[in-house]
Amino acid sequence: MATANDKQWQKDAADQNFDYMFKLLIIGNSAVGKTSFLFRYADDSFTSAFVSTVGIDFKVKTVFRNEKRVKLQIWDTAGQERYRTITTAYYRGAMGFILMYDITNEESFQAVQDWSTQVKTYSWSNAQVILVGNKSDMEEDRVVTYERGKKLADQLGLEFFETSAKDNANVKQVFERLVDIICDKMSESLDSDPTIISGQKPGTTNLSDKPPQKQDNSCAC
Amino acid sequence: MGELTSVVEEPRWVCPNDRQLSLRAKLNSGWSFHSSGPARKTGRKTDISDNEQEIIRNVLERSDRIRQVEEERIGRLVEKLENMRNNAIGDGKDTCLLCNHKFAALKVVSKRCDICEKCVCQKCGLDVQDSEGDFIWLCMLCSEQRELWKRTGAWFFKAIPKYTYPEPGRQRRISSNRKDTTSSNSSDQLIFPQTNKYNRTWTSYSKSKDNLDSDIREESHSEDEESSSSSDEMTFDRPKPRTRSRARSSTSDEPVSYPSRRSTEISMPGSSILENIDTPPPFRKRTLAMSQEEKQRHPSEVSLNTSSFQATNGQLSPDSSQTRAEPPKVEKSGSFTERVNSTDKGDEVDGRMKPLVKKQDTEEEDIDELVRTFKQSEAAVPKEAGESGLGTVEFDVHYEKQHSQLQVTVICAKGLKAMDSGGTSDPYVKLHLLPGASKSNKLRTHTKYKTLNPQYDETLIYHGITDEDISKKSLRLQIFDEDKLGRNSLIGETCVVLKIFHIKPSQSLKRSLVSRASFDEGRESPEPNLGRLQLSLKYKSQKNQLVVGVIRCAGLAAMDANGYSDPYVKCYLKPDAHKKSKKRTSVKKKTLNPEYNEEFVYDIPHSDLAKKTLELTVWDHDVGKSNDFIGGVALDINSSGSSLMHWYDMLKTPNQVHTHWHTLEKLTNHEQE
Repeated sequence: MATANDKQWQKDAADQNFDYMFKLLIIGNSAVGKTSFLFRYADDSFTSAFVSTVGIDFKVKTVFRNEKRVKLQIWDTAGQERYRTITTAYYRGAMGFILMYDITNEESFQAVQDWSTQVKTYSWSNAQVILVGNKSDMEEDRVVTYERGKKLADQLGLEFFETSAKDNANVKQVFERLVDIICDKMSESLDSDPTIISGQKPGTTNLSDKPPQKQDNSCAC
Repeated sequence: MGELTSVVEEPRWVCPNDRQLSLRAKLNSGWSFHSSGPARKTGRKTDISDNEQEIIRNVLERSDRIRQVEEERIGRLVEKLENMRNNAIGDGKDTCLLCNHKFAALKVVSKRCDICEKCVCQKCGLDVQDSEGDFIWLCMLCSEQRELWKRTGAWFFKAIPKYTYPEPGRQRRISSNRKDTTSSNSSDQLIFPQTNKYNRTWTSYSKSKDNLDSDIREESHSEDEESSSSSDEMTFDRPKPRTRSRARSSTSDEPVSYPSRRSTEISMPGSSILENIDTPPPFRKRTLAMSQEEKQRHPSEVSLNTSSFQATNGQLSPDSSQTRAEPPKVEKSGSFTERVNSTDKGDEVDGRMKPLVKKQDTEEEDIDELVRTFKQSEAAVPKEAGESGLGTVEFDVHYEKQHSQLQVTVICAKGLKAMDSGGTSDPYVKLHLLPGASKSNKLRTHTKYKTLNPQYDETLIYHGITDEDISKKSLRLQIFDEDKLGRNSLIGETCVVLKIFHIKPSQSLKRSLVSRASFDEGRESPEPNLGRLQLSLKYKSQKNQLVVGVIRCAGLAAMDANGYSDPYVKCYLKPDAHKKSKKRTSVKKKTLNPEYNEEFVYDIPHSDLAKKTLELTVWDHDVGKSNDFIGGVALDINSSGSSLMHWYDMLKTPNQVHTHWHTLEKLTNHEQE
């Protein structure tokens, strides 16, 4: 925790000059390169040394996309299972997920299905997910082909990228795509349900909306 | 510090809902998991070392700060919309919903908003592109609402996330989603409850089709109960304190002591979650919709609450009498002072709701006790106050936020005690802002001779009053008898906590004088106050000129032995090798609140300004020795706070006068004499 870093993030954190704030979460097995991916994107730095993330961490970056300034708070989660209780607590606040596996590690690819289920369980239903196969620079060690990755992504209904944090390949693209998807989702949700937003107070509309739902359920028995 | 797992797994015995079960089935790991962590192996304890906890705690603190900033940002957006909504005056049928222009065939064309279907004029609406690229016509309110939903993330969470109104000096948490407990002493708190709260923040009011985890819903539910229980207290035991006799109206005008002092007394350590649990069931029944507005609608109850709280604390300060609402009693002047005061107390109540929840069981007795104690004080007070005939004073106070002014109009005093042998007095009224009474904040009226009922009708103005001053300071009115020989003697005084002008900036007050208002002088702020400077900046883009206007200073530090300074202001535009930019105002003798209204003009291209620093320094002019430096401000792109804002405003919107108050600082590298 260098103080210089501290200052930097304070600057980022205090920056109020933005239109939207999106919270993103990077998940995936341990050692697939989540932290490297984030560091590459936020600081444009890379190190091969492996330091396991403790619990959870985040970085803030403001990007200009679709004529809007979007402030991203990107959460980097620990892949290790022992932190799972902490990390899952953050799923619910996230609008977008980067689900990452390591193309040189079969196990991490196998776990994608589980991660995806976790996201569905713990996140909001309209959260957006992108599947990322990392470490595309290590072609000689590859065990998961691009096609398998793409196929799984299609199955799960996700967009798919292969990236390399080391070579800085596709890193920015993943984030930009995710921001775009969320933006699309945003205008979509506003248009599909204008009644929500025309409610005068957030409380009142929702209060009146709850009872009918309950009735539906109880009538079934 | 407990195990990591404990809090997150809190709702482990809650039956999972269908969606969870079906999703869990997909995990192929059996049905025996509890709600959190489907991929976890059961029975395995997570062991996270202290070291790791510390690291995580740091991260969460960081995120907490971001969250707070974000909440304030959302608060600002919400406030903006609410203001717009409040300012919408038309009916949306025959007149424009917003500006109330009457629709006429040719002049004002009505257009129907595609969302709310109210009609607005062309000026009060706009075309917006929807996701298909079609244009829809929206009134300003709906488009603003739309924008709000986008900007706050409400579109995603289906409700506006938790927010705070970012008002300096008092931050009231108004979101009904949950009562916040993290902000106060987040560093002391365990991180894990917070982790959990992060979750909760978004949960209430969910209308989403996907079911919330039942456990989380449970949580948010109890949160709501907590807040509603606080609102319930509003009505708690309302009639009791009215036992007070009306005859005592004169003593009710006791000075108000610092409310903040009381709030600090009640800041108890301990987990809010515990308090949540402690809330007795009868107080859990109200709807969660009760909010700040509700509280304000019942001002008297709120104030009762305040007073009863004092009793529970076992500390009945004299001003508790103040907070006890009397039956509405209209003063001669047509304003009810007492009520007004108690209304504004409601503001503080918010902050102490939590401790109150704990105290509730004992409240009943406490009120009895309060009444008892009060009767005692009642017996004691009149001897020195009302009945002893020190007199009363009537005055209006108006806080003008825009101009940073506090205007005190002293109207009259009545029934003053006679101090002179002739059976009359020569009274004048002296004002001070406390803490920090000094000559710099002294104002006085003229003296009225040989009267016990002086009529003043004089308006005295404090300049450069900030919201912070209003939250922290008190106004003391003292009536003195002017003596030609010897010292002027104090007839009586009264004290008003300025905080009450936050909500209602204009109030008429009538107070009984007491011989010594109980103001705790020990609370004086430790940091030396150098004073403030009001400055106007304007960039004339046609002439390429920067116009710096030194308007006035307020509350300058006294540098001379007589308790005053002889201040003047110097102005530099740095860097400046030849000191050509050096300008100075005239010297104002023997004052701590000098008015200059002097302008300096610098010929400089706009593009060069970004590299410059405007430095203003205030000096005390001394004859025969070197002038004393009082304080200064530096404005450039590297400065912060109001300086930066001012500088930025000037750069951004040229050809417009920007006036700001600045607090003087001990600049380290200012230009010397």
